[in-house]
Amino acid sequence: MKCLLNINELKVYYFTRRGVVRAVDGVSLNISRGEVLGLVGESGSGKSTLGISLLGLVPPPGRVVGGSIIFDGIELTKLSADEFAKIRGRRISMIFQDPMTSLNPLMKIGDHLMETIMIHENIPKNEARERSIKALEEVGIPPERFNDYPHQFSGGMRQRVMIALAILLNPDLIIADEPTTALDVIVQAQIIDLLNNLRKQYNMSILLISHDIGVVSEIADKIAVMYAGHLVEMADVDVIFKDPLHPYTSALLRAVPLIESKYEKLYYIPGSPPDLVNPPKGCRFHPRCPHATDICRTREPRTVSIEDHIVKCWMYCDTYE
Amino acid sequence: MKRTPLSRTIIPPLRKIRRLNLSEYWIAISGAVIIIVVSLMAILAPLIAPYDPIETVGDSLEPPNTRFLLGTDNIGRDILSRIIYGSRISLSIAFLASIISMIIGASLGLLSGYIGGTFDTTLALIMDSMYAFPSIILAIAIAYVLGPGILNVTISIGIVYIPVYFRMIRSEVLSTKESLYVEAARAIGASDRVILLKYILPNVTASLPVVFSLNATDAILIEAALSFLGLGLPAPTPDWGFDLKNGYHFITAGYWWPVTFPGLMIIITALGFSLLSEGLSEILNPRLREV
Amino acid sequence: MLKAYLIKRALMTIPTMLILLTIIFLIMRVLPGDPVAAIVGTKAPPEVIQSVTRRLGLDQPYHIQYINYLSDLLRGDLGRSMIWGRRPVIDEIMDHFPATLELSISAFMVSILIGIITGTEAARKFRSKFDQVLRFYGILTYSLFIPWFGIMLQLIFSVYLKLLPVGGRIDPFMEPEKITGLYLLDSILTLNIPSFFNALSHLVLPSITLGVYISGVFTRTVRSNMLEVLRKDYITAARARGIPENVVVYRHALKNAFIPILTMMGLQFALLLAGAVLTETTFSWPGMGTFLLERIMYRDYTTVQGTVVFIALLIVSISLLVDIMYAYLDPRIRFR
Repeated sequence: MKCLLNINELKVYYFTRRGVVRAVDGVSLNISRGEVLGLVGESGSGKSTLGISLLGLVPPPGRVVGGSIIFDGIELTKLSADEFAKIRGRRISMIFQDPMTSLNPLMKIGDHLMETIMIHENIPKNEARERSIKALEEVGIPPERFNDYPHQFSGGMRQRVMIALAILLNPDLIIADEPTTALDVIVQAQIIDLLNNLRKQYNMSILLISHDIGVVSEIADKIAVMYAGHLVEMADVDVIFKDPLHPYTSALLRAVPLIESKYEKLYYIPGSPPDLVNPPKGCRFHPRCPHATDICRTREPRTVSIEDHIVKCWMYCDTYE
Repeated sequence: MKRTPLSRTIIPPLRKIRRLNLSEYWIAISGAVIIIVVSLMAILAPLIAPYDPIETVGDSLEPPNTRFLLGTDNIGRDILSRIIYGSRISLSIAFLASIISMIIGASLGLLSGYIGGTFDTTLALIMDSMYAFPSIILAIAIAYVLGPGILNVTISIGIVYIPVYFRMIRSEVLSTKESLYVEAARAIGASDRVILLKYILPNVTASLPVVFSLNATDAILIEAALSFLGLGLPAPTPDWGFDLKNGYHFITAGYWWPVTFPGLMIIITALGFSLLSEGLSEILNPRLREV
Repeated sequence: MLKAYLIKRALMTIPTMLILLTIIFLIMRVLPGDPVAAIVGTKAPPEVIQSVTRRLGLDQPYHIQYINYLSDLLRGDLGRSMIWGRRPVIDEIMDHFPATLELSISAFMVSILIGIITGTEAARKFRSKFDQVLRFYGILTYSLFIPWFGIMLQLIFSVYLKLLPVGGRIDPFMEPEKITGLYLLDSILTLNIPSFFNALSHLVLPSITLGVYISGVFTRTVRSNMLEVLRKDYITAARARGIPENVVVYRHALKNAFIPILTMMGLQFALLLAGAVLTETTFSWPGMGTFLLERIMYRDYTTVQGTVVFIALLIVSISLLVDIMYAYLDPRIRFR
C-alpha cells in the first residue's frame, strides 16, 4: 500500500508555567492509503496531542518543536496558516470526542455542512445544499433535520453529523479522537460500524485514537501504543493481540473486559501515568513495569523493529541488536 | 468518589496569598504608590502648597510660569495650591463615603445571607433594584434633596454604593453557610452570633479590599461630578470638580490650564484606586492567572 | 414555552419597578431634606411655603402621599412642571428624550466598535503585550472623568483645531423637520443634507466621549467571553474543517460570545445613562441630563422627581427588552 502519512521524530511540547510538558516526544509512524491505524494509550499519553498536531491546531502554550509530518508529499509542519487551512477539512478532517460540544450551538446542522463546502469549493449554494443533504443521508440523518439546531439532536446523532462533516469533502485522512467515548455502548457500536462502512466505501485512511484497545481493534488494521509521549509498540492488530511485546501493551490487553475471559478478574495497571514535566529517567514505563531492570531505570530504550513489529523496550534491544 | 481529607473541609480555608514575584504585583503597586502620593499631598498640604488656596495671589488667568507653576485661575488664585488642597476634600469624602457603604452594605449582606427566607429575598430585590439604577443619578437626586455640603455629599455617595457590598457579601455568605466547617461549628452547638462572627465573617471578607478600592474610585468620580454639576461643595472650598467647572467657562478663549490640572488630578487619583483594586483582585484570586 | 418565559420575565419587572419608585419616593419625600425649601428657598414667607406644601400634597401623611404618588404614576401622570406654565412633566421629558437617545445610540455604536475589535483581538493574543495594554485601557476608562475628557476634546478639536463645534446639538435654524426627534434620522428622512452634516458634526465629540467611557467595560466583557468561547470544542472543530481563522473568530466565536455580551450591555445601559448625564452637561447637549440639572437649578421639584421616575422606567424596560432579545437570539431558549 502507498504511504499517505509519514510522521518522523515528532515532538510537541506544552510550555506551561509549571514547566515544559513533553506530550509527544519523538514519535515516528506511517499510515498507508486506506489503512486504519488505531492509536491507543491512557489519557495524558499524548495521543490526542499527536492527532491535533496533524491539523496544526495544537493549542497554546503548546507547539510542534521538532520532527516532520509529511502528508502526501507535503511537509505539514512548514505550512503557513493559509495553506494549512486549505488542507483541513478537505484533505484531512477530524472527528472529536464529545459530539455534545463539537457543534456550534447557534448554527443549524445544515449550515455547518454548507459552510464547510463553500469555504473549500467555489460552488453555488443550492449545489452545496444538495451535497450536504446527501452527506447527512449517508450517515443516516434524514433531510428534514437539515434546519435543526444541535441541541435538538441526541449524542449519537450529533456524532453522525460530525462524521458527515468529516467525510463531506472526501478527505484522504480522518483523525477520529475518541469518537465513541462519550456515547453509550449500543450507539458506540453503530458509530464504529458506520465508520467502517464509510472507510471501505471511500478508501479513506483513519487515525483512530482511543484509550480503549477493544474498540480500536474492531476496525483497525494496525495498532500503535503510546505511553507518556513515546510510541512504545506498533504492529498489525492480530499480532498485537496474539503476541504483544511491550509489557505496557500486555497490561492494556489484560485490562480489556473480554467475554471469553469472564472468569478472570478484571486487571488494572498499577500506578498512574507519569508527570510529563518530570518524566522518569530511562524507560518512562519502568516505575509500573513488572519486568523493570537496572538499565530500564537509567537509559531510554531504543526503538527496534522486528519485521513490521516495532517496540521500544530493553527486553528486545539486547536480543535483537 | 475522591475523598477530601477531613482537615480540609472542617477547617476554614484561610485564603493564602500566593507568592508572586514583584513584577506581577506592578498593577497593585503602582495604584498604591499613586494613592500614597496623593494622600501625602493631602496631609502635608499646608507645608507644600506655595500659596493660600483661597487668596488672590496673582493676576487673573496667568499661564503656568515660574511663580505659579500651574498658572492661576480667573480670580488670580494659584492652581497648584488649590489642587494640593483639593486632594483633602476629594480623599476624605471618598474614604468616608466608602466606609459608610461598606459598613452598611456588608452588615446587611451578612445578615440577609445568614438569615435567609423572605427577609433575604426582599432585601436582595431592593438592593438589586438600587444596583440597576445609575449611581450618579441616584447621587444627584439625594444630593439635591439634602442640599450642598461635605456631609451631605458624603452621605449621597455613601448610599449609592451600599448594594455593591451587599451583593458581594451576601453571595459569599450563601456559599459559605453550607460549608462543612460551618456545619461542624453548628454541630458542636455554637450560637448564631459566634458562627456569624467567628466562622463566616472571616471567610467572606477576602474580596472587601478589592471592592473598597473600586468603591473609592467611583466615590472620587462621583464627588467630582457632583461638584462639577454644582451640587457639591460651596465656593470657595478648593475642590477639583468645582475648579474644573470654574475653568470650563474660559476654555473657548484658549485657557487650558485652569481645566487641565484639576481634571488630571481627578483621573490620576481615581486611576490609583482602580489600579489597586485590579491588582488586589489578581493577587487574591490567583485562579484567574492559571493557563 | 417562550411565551411563558417572556410573561414570567415581564411580571418580574413589576416588583423591581415598585421598589425603584419607592426608593425615589423615600429620597424625594422622606429624606431629611425639605422639598419646599428646595423649591422656594429657606427665606420665603410662610404663606408661600404653606401654599407650595399644599399644592404638592406634602401636608398629607406619608402613606397618603405614597398612595397618591403611585396612583398618579399608574395613570401615567408624572405631574406638572412648577415653572413655565405648569406643562405636564412627561411632555417636557419627551422634548429632551430624543436628544439623549441619539447620543446614547451613537455612543453605544462607538463603544461596541471599540469593544468588539479590541476585546476580540486581546482574546486572540491572550497574555501578549497588546493584551496588557488593553487591560490598562480598561482600567483607565473606568477611572475616566467624563467632563475632563470632554473638555480636553473640546480644547483640541474645537478651540485649537476649530474642526468641530464646542457644544450644542445643532446650529440655530438648522433643525430638521421633526419626525422621530433624532436629528440624524430626521434629516435623512427629509433629505436635508446640510442639517445632517451639521447635526453629525455636533454629535462626534459627545459620542466619542461617552463611547470611550463605556468601551472599557465592553472590551473587558468581550475579551473574557471570547476567551471562554475560543476554548470551546466547536471552535477547534470549525478550525479543523478548514474554516479560515478570521471567520472562526468573527463569525463562530463572536456570535456565541455575543449573547452574554448582550446581557452585559443591558446592564451597562445604566452606565450609559450615567455617562450621558455628564456628557450632556459638558457639551450643552439638550438631553435629559442637561434638562434634569437645569430643573434642579430652577428648583422645579416635580420635574426633577418625574425625570428620575422616567429614568427608572427606562432602565427597567431596557433590561426587559434585553432579556427578550436574548431569548430570541439563543435557539436553545427559543426552542425550549
